[in-house]
Amino acid sequence: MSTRTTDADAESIDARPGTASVAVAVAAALVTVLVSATTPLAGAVGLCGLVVVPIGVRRGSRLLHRIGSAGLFGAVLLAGVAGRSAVPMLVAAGAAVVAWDAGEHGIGLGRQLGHAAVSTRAQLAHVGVTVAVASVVAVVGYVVYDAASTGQPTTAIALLLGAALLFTYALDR
Amino acid sequence: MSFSSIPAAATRSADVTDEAAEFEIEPGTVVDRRTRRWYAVTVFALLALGAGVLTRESGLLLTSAFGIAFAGYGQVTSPPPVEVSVERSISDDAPDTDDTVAVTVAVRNESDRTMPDLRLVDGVPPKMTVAEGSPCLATALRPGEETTFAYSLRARRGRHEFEPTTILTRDASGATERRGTVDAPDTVDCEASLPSQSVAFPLRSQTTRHTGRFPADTGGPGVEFYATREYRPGDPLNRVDWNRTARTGDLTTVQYRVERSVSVVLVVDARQPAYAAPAPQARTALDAAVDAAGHAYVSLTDAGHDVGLTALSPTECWLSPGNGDEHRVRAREFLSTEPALSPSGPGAETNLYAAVQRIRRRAPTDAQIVVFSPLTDDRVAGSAIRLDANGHRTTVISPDPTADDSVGHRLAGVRRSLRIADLRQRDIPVVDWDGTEPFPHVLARWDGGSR
Repeated sequence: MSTRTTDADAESIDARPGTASVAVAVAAALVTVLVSATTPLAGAVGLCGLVVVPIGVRRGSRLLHRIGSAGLFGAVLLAGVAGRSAVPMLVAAGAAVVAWDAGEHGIGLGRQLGHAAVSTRAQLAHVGVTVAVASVVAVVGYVVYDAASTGQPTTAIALLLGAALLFTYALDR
Repeated sequence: MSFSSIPAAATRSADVTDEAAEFEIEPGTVVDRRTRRWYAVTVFALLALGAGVLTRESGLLLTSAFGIAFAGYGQVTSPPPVEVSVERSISDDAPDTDDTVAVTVAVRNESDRTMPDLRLVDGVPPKMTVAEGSPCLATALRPGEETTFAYSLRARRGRHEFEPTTILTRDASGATERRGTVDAPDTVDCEASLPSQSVAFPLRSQTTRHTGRFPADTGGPGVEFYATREYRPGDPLNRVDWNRTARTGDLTTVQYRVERSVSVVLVVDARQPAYAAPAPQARTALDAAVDAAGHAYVSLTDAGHDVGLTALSPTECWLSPGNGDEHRVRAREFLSTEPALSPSGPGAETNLYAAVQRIRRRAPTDAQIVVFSPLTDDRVAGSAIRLDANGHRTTVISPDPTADDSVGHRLAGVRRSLRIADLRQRDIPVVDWDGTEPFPHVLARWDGGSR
């Protein structure tokens, strides 16, 4: 028996994200790699991320985008371990967050609405807000760091940050 | 113009992360969904925190601030309410089949909050397809701001109603997505116009008493030479073959082929199996059959025959055989808006026996019958045989809905061919039509089968 027209959704839709998301994700990933490539290992991992993220976003593939983002975040971590100072670390991490966010948002839009839908304004608005929030976080973080970096033990700061993280989760419940 | 405001109490929280999950949402209620999209950043923050403690690098510790900030950011924002008005303007709400209908949708933020991420999927009627553009929009709207987007639909036969428009609003962080619907009822009435050109429709040979234009296999008054016979007293003198009389001395009468009018009842198979199509968005066998019935109606009435219309369907419908302008209008209405032929399927079983009995009771005794059916089951083939055996000369026009992309589909195709072969063996002509080629071409190619 042949198929019926009532199964109308079977027609495959083009789920690729809009170009704005791809462009922002690539630009932010580039910033992350440029700032974090202090050691060959960090550079190599970051470069992998830089290559994989655009492919993942372009094709609307969540998996590839996650792998690429893991590369970017890994590069930031490796640069930090290698002793990169506070300001470049904030820039690299902030850019990695923006790259991840823009890509994820674009893929979600593509999957929900399809490639043909007009969505540039939503993409730019979302990215704009994320960049603004990331900038505020970086500035506030740096100011706190600058004021507090007068010999407090790292463990104490770490515990403080961990407590803040748990607190935000407590708000969630 | 419609407006929907959703009270906060109607909000239902759904802890669903699969964005592909389709909710059926009553108008007036909303469903919230956590997207959990910041979890990856939180994981990164924890890793940075741990690595920072191990290596005592302050730069690493500092980066974990992003994780904390974005995790909290997702919690402090909440999605704006689904207070959106949707106004649709349709270029032509009574298009012809296959016309392109331009739809422009105006969306306005009726709430007092900015919508940083508003996604909208317009409720395209299920049986229509998008010809150009996309019925979806993602945008950001300030309070009271309005935006428009446009797309176009391909009109298909029948009455189409727009469904409620789905609205998704996200907060700026995208951590929570709120889904609701807005009613914007609009309808598009697409009437199938009858074809303007008539074609030679193959009827079967006929013997009836009424003079018309269909050449019968009988001699008598007419135009075309048929035979000669011995003169009988009473034959008109101008029919006597005087040349032959001069040659032989006998009186001979020339007979011409009698042209007779025929009553034809077009029977469209509108049972559920006739809604089959070779592909999900392809034309259904029913739509093809209605198209073919339109061609047959025009061609046969142009040739002077009386044509009636009916359907094999759960609901009764009947247009008595007739001819002329008024009848043509009624036939057009029948093929466009008759509920039994609606493009969305009957949703009920058809009592085929009763439907055939109705046709036998109402059709004139000498009426020919043309059955339009995809022949996807044995029962409809049996009905054609029964009608033929009851003295109604029957022809079958069969649009082919079978596909050949799987073994099951190919088997259905083979069984259909066997049914066609069986009907032809019983001297019932069958026009096998793939449903996509223009119907007049098929008729032009068809040699008439058995007459």
